[in-house]
Amino acid sequence: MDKRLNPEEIMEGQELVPLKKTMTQEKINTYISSAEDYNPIHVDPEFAKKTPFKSTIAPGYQFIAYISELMTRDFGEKWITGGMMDVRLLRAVLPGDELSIGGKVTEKREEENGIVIGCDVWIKNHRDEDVIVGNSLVNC
Amino acid sequence: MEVMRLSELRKGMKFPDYQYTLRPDIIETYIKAVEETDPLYTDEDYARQGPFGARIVPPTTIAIYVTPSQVFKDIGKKPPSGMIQTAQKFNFFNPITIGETVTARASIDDIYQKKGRNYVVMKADAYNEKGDRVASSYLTFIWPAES
Repeated sequence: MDKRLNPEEIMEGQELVPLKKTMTQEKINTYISSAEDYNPIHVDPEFAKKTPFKSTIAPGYQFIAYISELMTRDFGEKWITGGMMDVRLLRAVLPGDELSIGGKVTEKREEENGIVIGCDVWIKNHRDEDVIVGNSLVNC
Repeated sequence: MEVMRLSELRKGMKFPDYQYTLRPDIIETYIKAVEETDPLYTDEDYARQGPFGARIVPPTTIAIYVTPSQVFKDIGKKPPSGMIQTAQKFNFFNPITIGETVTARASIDDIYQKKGRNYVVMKADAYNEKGDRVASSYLTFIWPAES
């Protein structure tokens, strides 16, 4: 697929083109129906009003998947067969939050089996607050 | 179902293997929820001619099956409410095709205290039908205070 990055041409310091997403209650409900994990903090607005967030929140796994989407877009099958991500979740994501999912190449090294690309990865909300920070590696 | 207590968990504790099938309807709902559009996951024709010869699931789909709810279910327990996920590590090794049945092997990788809070790290390895490991998950969460 021609949209993938060519590992030979990737440079340290290169930024990955960000993804943009808007979280909605409908998307949260859809995620919960696939996961069949009915925690009221995600789906019950009345319950959620009494929590410190004063709102429902998205499951962490739902927006962690956005990092994987970014890496699949740029590294394709290499992400599936040799990808790693290690992230910390710093803030909740609420319905209405607009998210920017980004990454920056921090490391490129040749190994016996090919090129290894390391990236810083992150998700920020529309208030420019860190939601997720971490790193990823791909064996290309 | 009885609520799991922190005192019942031990570092290194292993849970019974469990299996799940990545049914097409679950995968379509998951893809819609996370808004994944990559043709490896969404385009039959592209995927058939691609590196894996068939549509595969987004690798993070295993997240659905490695939650404490899923891991504790087979031993008749449920997690307490109020758990907060603070970190996640994934390693991806092999593709999973739609409709494949995966075996999950979960354990407690670590339990520790930090700033007065109890943290639990739950590890889960997922294997495909051939017995190859497809992914590993390390989920870190704060265990809520127990009364």
